[in-house]
Amino acid sequence: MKAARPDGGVLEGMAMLVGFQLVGELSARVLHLPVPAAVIGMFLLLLWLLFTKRIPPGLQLASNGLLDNLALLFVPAGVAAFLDIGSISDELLAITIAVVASTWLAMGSSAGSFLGLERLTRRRP
Amino acid sequence: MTGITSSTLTDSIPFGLALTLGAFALARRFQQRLGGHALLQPVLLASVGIAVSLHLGKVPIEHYRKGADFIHLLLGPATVSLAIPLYRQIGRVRESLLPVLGSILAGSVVAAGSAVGIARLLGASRLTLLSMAPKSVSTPIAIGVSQSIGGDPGRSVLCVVFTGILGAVTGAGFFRLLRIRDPRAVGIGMGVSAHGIGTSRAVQLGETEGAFSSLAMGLTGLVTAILIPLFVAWLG
Repeated sequence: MKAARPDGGVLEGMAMLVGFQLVGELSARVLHLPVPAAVIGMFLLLLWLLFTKRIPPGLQLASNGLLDNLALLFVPAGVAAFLDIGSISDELLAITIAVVASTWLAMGSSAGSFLGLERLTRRRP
Repeated sequence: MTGITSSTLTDSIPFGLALTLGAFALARRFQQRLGGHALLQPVLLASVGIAVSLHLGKVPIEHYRKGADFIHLLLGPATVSLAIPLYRQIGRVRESLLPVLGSILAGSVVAAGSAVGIARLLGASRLTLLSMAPKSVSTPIAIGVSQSIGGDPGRSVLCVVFTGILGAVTGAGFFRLLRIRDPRAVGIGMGVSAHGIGTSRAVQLGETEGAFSSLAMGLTGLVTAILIPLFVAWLG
């Protein structure tokens, strides 16, 4: 049995996450990709996991800690948006209706077309 | 001791940090106390609560940002860590790769097209229409796309955040109403429409929802960033 590492590895997991974000940043700049560095980092980490076929325990711990509180991380952006609501007061009604309707239309159409395509492709094995 | 006023206190790092953490913890407790009602999402309650407090207390947002930025900073590594539920579910993604890609593409087009179309019917200005096109993607992509097509990035960010909060708050109920129970479909819907904020809710609903939502969020961002500038150029 290997000796347990006293730090539990969270720090290593966090270093990995930030490291992949940094590589994402580098790829975005070099390749002029229009996607945020963190999203590229997510796909790169996915490739890495598919390649190594294991999730290091520290990475799992760091990821659990962040994902359990993911909604918290959007609060600063939410606060800024609510404070800035006056800037759209002239078109508030049109924007509100369009945002609400298109949010539900997008949710319904993507989920519905997934189920439809799934059924179509199932029939032909 | 004339130097110590409430304004110097709000102009400190612990102020925005404590306010954000405290308000979110309180909002979560409040939601649990009321039986965990989905409409009472802590991200909505905490954001509104803090915004109202800052407004009433006449605290400049720059003061709040000093501490809140530390929380905002964690979004980067948190987004990267979405690779882990995605990796665990990769078998299910591969199984239905074509439906996954097709529905994400369709949903991205509906998201941008319906937002612009409806706002146009309601008489919104051209600037607003351009700013609304990238409303279903995460903030950094929306800002970039908005700038490149001549929209107002500030207006885009507002639409993005409200879309995300709305998707997170209403998503679960919406799919229940439509009788859509497949966790993969729910995840794709939340990720396509409500980007990261919707994904934060999908992760709570379950690992499958979270994984499909993460994938949908990333690919919708990519599709939107490529298609919208082309579409606007084509419209002229």
